[in-house]
Amino acid sequence: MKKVVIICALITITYGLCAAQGVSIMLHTGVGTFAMKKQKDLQQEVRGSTMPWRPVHKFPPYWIYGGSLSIQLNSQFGVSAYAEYGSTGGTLNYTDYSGSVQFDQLLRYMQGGIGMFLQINLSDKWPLFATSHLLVGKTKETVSSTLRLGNSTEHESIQLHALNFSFRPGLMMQHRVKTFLFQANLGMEIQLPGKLQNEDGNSLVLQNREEVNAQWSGLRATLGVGLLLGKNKKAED
Amino acid sequence: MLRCLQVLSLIIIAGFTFQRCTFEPDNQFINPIPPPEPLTVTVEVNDPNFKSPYYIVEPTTFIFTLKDLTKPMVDYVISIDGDDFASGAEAPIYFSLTPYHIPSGSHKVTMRVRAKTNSGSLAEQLDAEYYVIEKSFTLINDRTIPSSLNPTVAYENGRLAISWSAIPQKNFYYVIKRTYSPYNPLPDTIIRNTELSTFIDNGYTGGDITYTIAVSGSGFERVDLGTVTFKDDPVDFQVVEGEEKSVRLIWNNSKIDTQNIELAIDTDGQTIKVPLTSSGNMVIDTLVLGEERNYWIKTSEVGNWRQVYSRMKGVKYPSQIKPFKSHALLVDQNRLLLLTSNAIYEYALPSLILEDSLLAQSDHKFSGFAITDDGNRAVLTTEKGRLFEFNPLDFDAPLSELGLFAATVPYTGGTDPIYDVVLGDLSRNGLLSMVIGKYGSRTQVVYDINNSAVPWYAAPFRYLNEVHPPSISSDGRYLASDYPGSSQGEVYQWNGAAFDQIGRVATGPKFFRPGNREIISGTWKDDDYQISPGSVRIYDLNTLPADPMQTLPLLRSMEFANLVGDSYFWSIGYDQRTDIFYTRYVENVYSTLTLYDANTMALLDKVSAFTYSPSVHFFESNYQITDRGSMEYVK
Repeated sequence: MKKVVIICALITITYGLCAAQGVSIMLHTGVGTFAMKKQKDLQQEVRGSTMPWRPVHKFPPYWIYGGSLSIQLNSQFGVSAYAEYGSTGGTLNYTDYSGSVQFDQLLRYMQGGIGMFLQINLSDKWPLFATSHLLVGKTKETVSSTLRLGNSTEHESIQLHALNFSFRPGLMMQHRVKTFLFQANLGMEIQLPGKLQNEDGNSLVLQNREEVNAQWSGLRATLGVGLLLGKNKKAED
Repeated sequence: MLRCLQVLSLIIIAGFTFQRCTFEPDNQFINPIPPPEPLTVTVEVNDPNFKSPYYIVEPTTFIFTLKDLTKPMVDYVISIDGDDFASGAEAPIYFSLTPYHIPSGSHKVTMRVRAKTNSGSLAEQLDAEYYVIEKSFTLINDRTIPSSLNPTVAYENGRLAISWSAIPQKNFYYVIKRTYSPYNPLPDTIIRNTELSTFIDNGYTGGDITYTIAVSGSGFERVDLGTVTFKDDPVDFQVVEGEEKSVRLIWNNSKIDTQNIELAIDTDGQTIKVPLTSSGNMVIDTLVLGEERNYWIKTSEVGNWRQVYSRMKGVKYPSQIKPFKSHALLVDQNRLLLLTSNAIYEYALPSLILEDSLLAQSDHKFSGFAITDDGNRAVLTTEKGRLFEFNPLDFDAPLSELGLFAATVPYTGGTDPIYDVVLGDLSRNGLLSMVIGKYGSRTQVVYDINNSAVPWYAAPFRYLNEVHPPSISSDGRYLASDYPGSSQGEVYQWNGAAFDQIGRVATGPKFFRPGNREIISGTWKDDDYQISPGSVRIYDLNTLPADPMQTLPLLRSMEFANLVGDSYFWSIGYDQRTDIFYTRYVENVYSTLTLYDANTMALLDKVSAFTYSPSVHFFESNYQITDRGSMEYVK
């Protein structure tokens, strides 16, 4: 599977570079929302245990970071290579004078893929593109509990990993100022979560015997800034 | 526009620069509860006087009491020298130790209690937060037996105190053993305060008691260290006759403190209980004439029935006169004559001063006498049946023996010697009634002491039934007699030379009322010692029946009920001076005379005296007299 993705990406990039009217590189940052239903179920089950803790984080939207290399094949269509990093988490906590207890589910992902974009309006200054990306990523989750009573602290944690595939359709508005490009992207991540397991292949299981996974599906809203490279740069200038 | 893009670029750069790339928890739920307040708890071991070091002397249960502990206990651990010995989670906190199982020497006993804080904190919920209450004491197991001691005993502040030299050791407790003879066994007293060297016996109120000081401890039990004996009566009780025949209990200056001491007087099944005082004088009883009575005088601490000390004290009604066999009350001469085996005594009335006596000579023993109602003539008889006339008012006058034997031989069945004479009445004209006893016979006889003749006699009776002398009126005019076995008695009248029968009356003792108008016959069902019903019948002597074998006219009569309570009807008597007849019954040792007016048959009074059943109890001229030597005027 990995090979197929890599080959597709290389073909896309090679074709793009050969046929490109312009090349640009972009940095993106923005906010993502994450479904994390199974993670929330796990947090709810843990909360029902004997500890008096309360949820202080329920897998909130959090910053995502990304970068892309885009190749404009003609005036309306282009392809890109895309990489993105994001994270979120859930926390149960209880603290008083005697100590504290905390249960953390910290998740982060690193994914990359290819995308394409097609201009869907006629504006040259504010072109609007429909975009779609195919992404493959790796999820890491750290589940830990920490108990501190006085000077005594007990900490336990486990590391889980998963491989995810996702498809993200979206819209992108772009504006060019000289050699600088500015983008605003809005996408909907549709993810196929992989099995979340530790090195021994064991997964966390809910009381209903369903395995816990990392559901990164959600909205993605980013802003980007980049440089226009290649031949279109002079023409535009 | 350019400016907007510049701002957008700054936002993006700031996002990369200042935002954390990876999500990290940065929030907490803080419960603002306060930590628990310090807890002040007082731990008591066994009792407030418990002291460390503690010498274990016997199997002992130690109880830890946590006062003011307002929090629930989680658990406790008892350790000895650091080794856990007992544990639990519920009060009471206790454990038991046996000296036998503990090595000699000093040991540290520690109790550690954990109690909930109820703070609700995380640590408390995880059983990591609790109050810790700790109490330790030193336990010593010493098996050394204390040395002997010399106890002494003496009164101290009104209580009997046993003292001994103090023992410096503390590895024992005292056992005070008391042997209180011959009374109830007394429980031992345990004294755990080894610093004491005195034992106060608050219950001692007299008697013979032995105290033994023993000790018990680890490895030794009830080892006697010393003994002391004491005997005393700390209250000198006296029982004396008081006024009006009352009995008084008198005591002075009790040696013992009378607080919480009780005095009990037991007599005749009744008990008087009063608090004992240092001195006292109280009426506890009333006597009857001649009574002797014993009283149990008991003292004891209130509620301490085991240590009652009893003393028997007696009182005796004073004897004004000597015990006697026969008596005569010479009212006109204010004299009382008493006859004993050895003498006749003359007392002045009413002073009862002994004025004279007539002693029996050589081997003569007086057995009885008879004196005329006017006190002018008297006859006495000896135990061998000899008869003497004497002057009842002048004992110096010589006695003259009367020739009874020769005169009575024709009437008494032969020449056998007289061994017994029972005298009856002596009339002023010298007629003396009697029963002459010879071997195998008894004969009723009237003997004329003036003429040494026998004007009347009955056939000798040859059985052993009691034969009573005939009754003769004081002037000698009438005679009445019962023949044993006969259902009726006969009444005779003196004709100047002999007695003629004039009629019959009921059997029983007979008495002539003054003036010779009537004769009283007291009758019981059978002979002596019979239970009632009895009766008293009074017959008319002035209206004689035509046939002397008929009964005289009956004027009045009285029937006595059968068995009054548990009393017995014993006898009937009559006092001519007061014209009172009386019945007598005896209960236990008390003789009671019931007095009736012979004229109206009305009940007059009851008088009692202390005497026994064969003894006599008379009512005569308003005196009641017993042959035990008691006499009093009946008002």
